[in-house]
Amino acid sequence: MSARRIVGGARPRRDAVDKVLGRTRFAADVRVPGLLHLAVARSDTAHARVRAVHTARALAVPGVVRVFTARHVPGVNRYGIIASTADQPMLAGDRVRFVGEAVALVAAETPEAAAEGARRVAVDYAPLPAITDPAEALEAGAAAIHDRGNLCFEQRIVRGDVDAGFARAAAVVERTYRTAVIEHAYLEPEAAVAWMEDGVLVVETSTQNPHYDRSDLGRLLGVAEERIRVVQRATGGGFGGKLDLSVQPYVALATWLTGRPSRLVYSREESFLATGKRHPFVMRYRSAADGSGRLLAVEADLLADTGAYASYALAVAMRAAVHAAGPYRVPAVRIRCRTVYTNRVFSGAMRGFGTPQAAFGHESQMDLLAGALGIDPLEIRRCNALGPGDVTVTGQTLGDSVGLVACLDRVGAVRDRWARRLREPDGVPRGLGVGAMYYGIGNTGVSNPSTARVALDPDGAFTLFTGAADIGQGSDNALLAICAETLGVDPDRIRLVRGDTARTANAGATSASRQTYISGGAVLRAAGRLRQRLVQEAAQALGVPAARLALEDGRIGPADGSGTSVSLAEVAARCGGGPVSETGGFDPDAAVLDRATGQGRPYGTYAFAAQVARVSVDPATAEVRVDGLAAAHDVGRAIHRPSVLGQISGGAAMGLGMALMETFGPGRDENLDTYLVPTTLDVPRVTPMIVEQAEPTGPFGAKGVGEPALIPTAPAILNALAAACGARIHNLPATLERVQKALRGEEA
Amino acid sequence: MARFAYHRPATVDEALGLLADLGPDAVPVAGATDVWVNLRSGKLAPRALVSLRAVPGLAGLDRSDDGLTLGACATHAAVEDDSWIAGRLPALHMACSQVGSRQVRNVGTVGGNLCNAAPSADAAVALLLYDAVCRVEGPGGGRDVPLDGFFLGPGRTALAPGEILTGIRVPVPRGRTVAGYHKLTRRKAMELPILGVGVRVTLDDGGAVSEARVALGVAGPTPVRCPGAEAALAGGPLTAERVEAAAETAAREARVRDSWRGQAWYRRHMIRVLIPRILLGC
Ligand SMILES: Cc1cc2nc3c(=O)[nH]c(=O)nc-3n(C[C@H](O)[C@H](O)[C@H](O)COP(=O)(O)OP(=O)(O)OC[C@H]3O[C@@H](n4cnc5c(N)ncnc54)[C@H](O)[C@@H]3O)c2cc1C
Repeated sequence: MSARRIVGGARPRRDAVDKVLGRTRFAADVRVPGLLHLAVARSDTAHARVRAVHTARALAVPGVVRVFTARHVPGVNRYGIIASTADQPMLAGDRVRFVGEAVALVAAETPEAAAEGARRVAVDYAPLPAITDPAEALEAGAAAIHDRGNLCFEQRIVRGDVDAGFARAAAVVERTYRTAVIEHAYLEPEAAVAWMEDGVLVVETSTQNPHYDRSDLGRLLGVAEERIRVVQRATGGGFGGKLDLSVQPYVALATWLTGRPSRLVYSREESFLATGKRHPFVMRYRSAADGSGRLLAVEADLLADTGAYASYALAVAMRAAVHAAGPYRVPAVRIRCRTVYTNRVFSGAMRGFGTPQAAFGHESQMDLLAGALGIDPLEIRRCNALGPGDVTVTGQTLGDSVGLVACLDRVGAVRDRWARRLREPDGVPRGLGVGAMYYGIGNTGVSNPSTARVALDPDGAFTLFTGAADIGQGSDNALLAICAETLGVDPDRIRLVRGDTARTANAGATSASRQTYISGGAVLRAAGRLRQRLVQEAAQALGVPAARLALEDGRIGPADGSGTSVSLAEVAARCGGGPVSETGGFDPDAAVLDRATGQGRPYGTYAFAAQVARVSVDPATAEVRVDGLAAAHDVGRAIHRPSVLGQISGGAAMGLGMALMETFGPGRDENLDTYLVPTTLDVPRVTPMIVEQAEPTGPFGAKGVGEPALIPTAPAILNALAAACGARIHNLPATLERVQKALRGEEA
Repeated sequence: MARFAYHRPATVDEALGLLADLGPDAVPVAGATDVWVNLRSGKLAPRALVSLRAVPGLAGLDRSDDGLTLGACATHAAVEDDSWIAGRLPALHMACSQVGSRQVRNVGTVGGNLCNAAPSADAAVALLLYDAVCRVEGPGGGRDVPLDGFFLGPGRTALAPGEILTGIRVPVPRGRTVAGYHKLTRRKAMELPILGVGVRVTLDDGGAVSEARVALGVAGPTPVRCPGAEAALAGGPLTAERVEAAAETAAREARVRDSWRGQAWYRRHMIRVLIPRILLGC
């Protein structure tokens, strides 16, 4: 076979068979003899000063070996994935700030003893007023949750003459929208094991970011990074929730201080209680358009509850602000997004970093403008859609890879087909709705490079070394495809070493839909360099100019097929017998945003998408059925089609949950029986469509799709519901009660 | 989770003997879909479980002209898969077919659903419509308990310590019958009802309602019948006005509450809406 059909192909993923057969070993499956079992004692109060932590009764439990509190933390007892806002203690010091915050760590010979020990830790609290509402947190005189005040971060985007835009508008719509706290609910709860090996602390864990884990573990322990090795185990989903540290500090501390291996696996309840959530937003939008539907100005004030700790709040604020006006040409904007501390479990990164919330706002606004002006909802989006060479609200001029109109056209064709079947004589309210989005690939306004290495081994096979954590989305597969395509070999001829801080370079986080674009770019460059070097070596061996040689199917020979060729093993031998390797890196062309105006170049490239939802509503009970979802995504280039289609379908399912049912109540929801995510019966067959507007800076033209997949879904469903019910729902999720009100013509 | 012994008696007598010997530290168990949840949460910490699943005959479905006898350990899936039940006792079929998911229905039993006595028990609401009678065996012998008197409160039944449920007799209504069960949920599977509404009317030859049963789930501390609504339906023809009047009565009678899963006004309104829907198809 020709290796040149790997990119864009549909070969089975390397991890597929093991996963289907249950052979994949996750962190919780790692068995180490003689290990300590850990349990975390947690705060049952939302906000209090900690007077004392009493551990004697815990230590008295047979089997309990040690109990650790904040004073045992050898390094800086403060971590956070964004260094400038790092504020979270691994064990609470003099203060607890949310129910579920870790106060003490119990290490024991059995899980039962550890749990019993944790139950017996007694904390003497002096209660402080707990703040649960972000608006209240900002009021003058509100209790300060952190010394630097309750405003965690604020991002503004200011451009053009907003007041003039509103002054000459033919239509202005102003509404307030609210979204809910959402739990990631990945299949695999957090898990880690640790042990000492030749003076090095080894932590094997479920993570989206092994290199970050290592650096913050080093700070917490007060240890040089070289003494810590983090290995990413097969990871059963992350969705942003495994960017933060969770269990890792506890196994690291216990093993570091006792020298014994240790293990901690969160129950589902603990995962709900203690780990990050999606920020709930309150969003006030004011949008203006001229008579033909062209946007003149958008004003958006977004308030997000980040809970007790900053986690990713800064990135959420920046990204939500940058995307708040939607994927449109908007000449004037006044946007502000604030993330605010409250005494609720912290919010962090979750698939889309605030963009799904903002999309609910801007896409509802687009439909309202369309309604006010009597314009078709698809048409108003088409006439405002960003295109190649257009300028975004941050003043960035877009390149060529801008496929939004193509996406709108693709879903538009489906919508028109569905529209013919919409009015059936059964009196059931049905509706169609559109949602659109754009999404910057990679971290916002900062350098976020990835480095990869590719080696030719003495046996003529290759090894790809990447720090990129595959959390189930398939980056292994995509990176192998890029590598194989570049080297002209079958991907099966490439070994993979992944997510191991001792053996791979930092690839940055598996987040921000960045690994295919950024780590893919690094792999492309590393493989390209290696290929060049091998071809040069072969050119010397064969006495043929390198320019005339091709690397194909594991041999290097004249591209026209004439004359002799050499095998890769022979080339390897010529290079001295050891592995021959090359390193490559890629960092997207992004630059910091201006502090006051938010102007700048936040991302190297953007993905675009449009989705259409078809819903029917039971006119009496208000039960909603999503009958169809069509989703067109401009991914630049699909490296592996089934993975892209899978991301689109899975994202749509997650978006459906956000639209119709997901809402986390602290203290109420601790498991999946009461916190509802969609089942297979709730999700319709998704019609995914791939649009490929190649991105010149992406590997083989690729951008990303992981987060974009989810972003337009809730807006499309809510717009379809508004069409079906005749009144709009402004608060997520669209519960039965809210839909019932909408059916009665009340705004909900 | 605390450790416990697991017994698998082969006969009812053996099971009763075990329960008598082990006393309050032993808990009978069928599919364990409720028991396991409580074991895991620590709400239940028995020293022994006495499984009834190995007792021959307890899982059977016995159909006759008079009606159905369900072994206490008959699963929801067995009911779901039975076309005889679907034809003659449609509300029971609808209720059992909507419990949890197929995986839960494959192990969860109708008897367990009754003995667990949750206000949300789907099958319990449907069985109230059919005047089901529970067969109870205990150290002192057997007795029949009408389901209507079986539930004493949330999680509390008429079973005395040491007694077990062995079967449920469900008479098939005689005469033209309209019956149905509507389970209201926020998602399409794996959820307890926000509200369960069951109705059955059986008509005489003249078209008048000779028997009316209205039962609700999540509208009180146990699955409950609505005597006022039943009285409003009985004795006259099945007209829209009479059905709506009965629905209104049921809505007023119902002890629905505000909870985070559903608001009282919505639940009450749904009672008003779903009774006519079941009876009149509107
Ligand atoms: C994921 C999930 C989803 C669920 N969804 C639903 C739903 O949609 N609707 C619904 O109604 N329920 C639901 N349930 C609850 C449960 O599945 C049902 O109530 C089921 O019918 C219980 O049957 P079981 O055989 O598993 O009972 P078990 O758990 O074995 O027993 C339940 C109780 O009854 C007692 N018991 C059982 N059999 C006997 C007997 N023969 N004699 C005396 N006592 C006995 C036990 O001691 C225990 O107290 C769900 C449960 C789970 C875990």
